Amino acid sequence: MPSTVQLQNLTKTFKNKDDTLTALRDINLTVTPGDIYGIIGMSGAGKSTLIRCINFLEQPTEGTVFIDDCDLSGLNEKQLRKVRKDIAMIFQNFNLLMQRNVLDNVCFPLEIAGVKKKDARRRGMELLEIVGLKGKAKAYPAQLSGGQKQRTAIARALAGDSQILLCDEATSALDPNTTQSILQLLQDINREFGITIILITHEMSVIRQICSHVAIIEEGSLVEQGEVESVFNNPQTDIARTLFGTKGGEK
Amino acid sequence: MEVKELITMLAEESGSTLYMTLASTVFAYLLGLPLGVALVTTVKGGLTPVPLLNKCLNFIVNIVRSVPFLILLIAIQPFTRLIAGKSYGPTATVVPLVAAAIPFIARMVEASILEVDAGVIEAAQSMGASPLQIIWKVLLPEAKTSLISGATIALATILGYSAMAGIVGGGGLGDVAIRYGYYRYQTDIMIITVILLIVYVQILQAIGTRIARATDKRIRE
Repeated sequence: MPSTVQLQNLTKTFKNKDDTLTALRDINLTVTPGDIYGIIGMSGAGKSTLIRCINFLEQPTEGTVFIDDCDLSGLNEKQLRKVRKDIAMIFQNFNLLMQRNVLDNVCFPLEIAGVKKKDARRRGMELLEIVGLKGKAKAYPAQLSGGQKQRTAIARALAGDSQILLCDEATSALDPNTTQSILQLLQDINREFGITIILITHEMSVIRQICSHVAIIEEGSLVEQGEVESVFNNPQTDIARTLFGTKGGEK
Repeated sequence: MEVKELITMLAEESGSTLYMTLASTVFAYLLGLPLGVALVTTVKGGLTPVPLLNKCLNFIVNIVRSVPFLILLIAIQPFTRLIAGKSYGPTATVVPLVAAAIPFIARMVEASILEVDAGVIEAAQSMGASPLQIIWKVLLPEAKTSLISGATIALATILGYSAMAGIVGGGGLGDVAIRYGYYRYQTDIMIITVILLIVYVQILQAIGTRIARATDKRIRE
């Protein structure tokens, strides 16, 4: 069952002795099932904190996240871990286990969930076929290219049959060609399995290529959001125009 | 002393040294490994934060680490007698060796685990892994190479410590060096024992390095 993700009045502040930093300010966002929702902003705008709040890797200071009807702020650690099993995540630096081969990396979430090794391996091989890495099952991450590493991470993310996939700058460490193929893969996954994708990026091209919706984040606040076409064709803020490269209204 | 007699003695005492070293290392790891893991995970903002416990553990580890082994060896003799029944001989020497090695090993384990990429830990958390699963399936396996290198250093250090125990009749090659070389001025025997100790450390180091390299999957083929 695809899930709706709802961020309500989400605020995150980081405190140290003499300073309070507001990373996120009163964020409201609804992602409906099957969306590819892109959140774009400059570095330091709060993108990474925002995406980590969605699966509560960062606890919001105020506000909450709903996954369907489930209020994450009302859950204890154990319940949160259970919810996280249904929210997959991929990262800019792939974050693969370097001492495990590709297949064992893909099987890792299944192993955590207590799936039998034989079943996990069979599922792992299916997933490797989907991401086009069947021949690399026995290879170790150090032997893979960046694109292959991200494909492994995507296969791993799919292993838990999650309905939501969070992408933390998933293509920012990749060259343009590899970026294209990874974005294509994400789009295929979205279409084929109906997985909701929420991605953060600083690259407009990523939004343009695969996203159905976009939100623009600046200094911790969402300044614009909506369907990509409408936001792109009618940007309301300077930051949007800067990001879209349409400063002053001209293309 | 006849050559044959000497060889027999050196072989026997080599066995004692090896026995003390291996037994101490095994026991010290049984306690030092979990302690090292705890030093990492109980820290504020860690996997299982218990800052107060972390401070206590750090304090205790630092205290034991600051006591020179020779002093520790003598200071805990009553404790050694309590555990081993006597305070001399190879088996008794295992007690102070373990006591000295635990905090040392804990620090090395701590350093190895801190090398594990925080991103990988975060990825495991995002999959809903429990702290225990992260320790068993992420921290220890990913730190494996570094842990093996650390264990090699621990073995060589404990071998050296075991030789020091010769001063209180701890047995092994150190005991021989002190009894013959120091008390009886038989420098030749002392030199032989020192050479043997050097050879053993070299062998341990070579084996350790080889295992560490063979099990490391981060190296491109």
